[in-house]
Amino acid sequence: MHQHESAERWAWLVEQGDALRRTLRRRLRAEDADDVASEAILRAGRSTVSVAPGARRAAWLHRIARNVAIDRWRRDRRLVPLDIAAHVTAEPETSAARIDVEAALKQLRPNDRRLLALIAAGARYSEIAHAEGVDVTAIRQRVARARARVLAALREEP
Amino acid sequence: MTITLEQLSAYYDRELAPDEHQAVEAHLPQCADCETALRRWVAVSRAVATAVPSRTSPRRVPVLIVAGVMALLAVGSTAAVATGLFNEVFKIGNVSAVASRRVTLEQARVANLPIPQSDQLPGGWTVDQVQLVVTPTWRSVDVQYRRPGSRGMGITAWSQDIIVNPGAERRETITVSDVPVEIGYGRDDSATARFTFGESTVIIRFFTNEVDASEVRALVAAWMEQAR
Repeated sequence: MHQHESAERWAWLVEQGDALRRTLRRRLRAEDADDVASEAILRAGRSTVSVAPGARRAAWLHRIARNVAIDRWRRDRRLVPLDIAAHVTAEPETSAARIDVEAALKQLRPNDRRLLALIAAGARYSEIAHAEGVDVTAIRQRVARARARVLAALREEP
Repeated sequence: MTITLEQLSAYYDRELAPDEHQAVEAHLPQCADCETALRRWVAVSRAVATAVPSRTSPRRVPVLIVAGVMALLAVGSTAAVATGLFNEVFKIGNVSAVASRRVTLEQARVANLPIPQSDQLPGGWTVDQVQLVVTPTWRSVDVQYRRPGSRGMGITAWSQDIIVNPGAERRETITVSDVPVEIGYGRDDSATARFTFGESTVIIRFFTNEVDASEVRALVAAWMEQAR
């Protein structure tokens, strides 16, 4: 990444601070939201990943914030796991791309839904693997297969 | 470079090793398909884990209620149904039962886990927030405490079906009322105390290294006394 890109990105990140904090505060306690926002902005500023300005860059920052929030939840379980999944949707689907998630979920097998629900509730692959007496790799593959089915079901929507 | 769907899915769950994580992160801003997939998975996570407005036909409702009640029976938390704590399990289709929410100390007792009687612990700690998690395989109650000038403390009791091993740079073991308590000191000025109480694993997390072994000993002893 060139130096001018880095300087431009930092300026943008500083501008984004308030908006990111506001988004996170809808889901997290104020002090948690502020901590997550600050750390996300630091990580984003230090990142060597090249991201062009625009909607892509906003999505990128929110992904980093989500990762920071997940890290904090796993470290001290102070954040509510469902909030982690939900807070990142600052970028809603446009009406043209509206999707019927419930219809897609209906096409999943009960075990796959249960698996996705466990993960959304904050369970780690290793925890589920331990509970079910299987390898972590097996869980990783099952989760990916379930998600692939979700995407396939969504694509079939009219 | 090419990212597999399995890598993208594990990235979404923050389950990738650092180098793989970096690779996916660098790929995403260049790939609209992957970004769309992530956005859809967020929507799916919300739908699968939170209360979904019920559009179920009346004929199907009893089946869903049976599924929800059976799942809660399986984890020994029928009281959660009786108190209406987890109404949403009836609304999320055939997911067995998943719920995570803020409750009072009293409401958290439906989890059948050891929880203190009082919202005070020695050292000026006062309950700030209680979080109850019930899943088909495990339950936990997380009690957050505050005291002036502190970043806080959390005590979590887990059901017997889960193993939780907080990371630590350095560990020492003390004994409180004949129970071994493992204290771990983390790199990021955090400390944990971990012990087994009845069938539960209990973990105390301090967000700063503001406590020493003698305060941990006093806290664990007071907690055991209250939770008996």
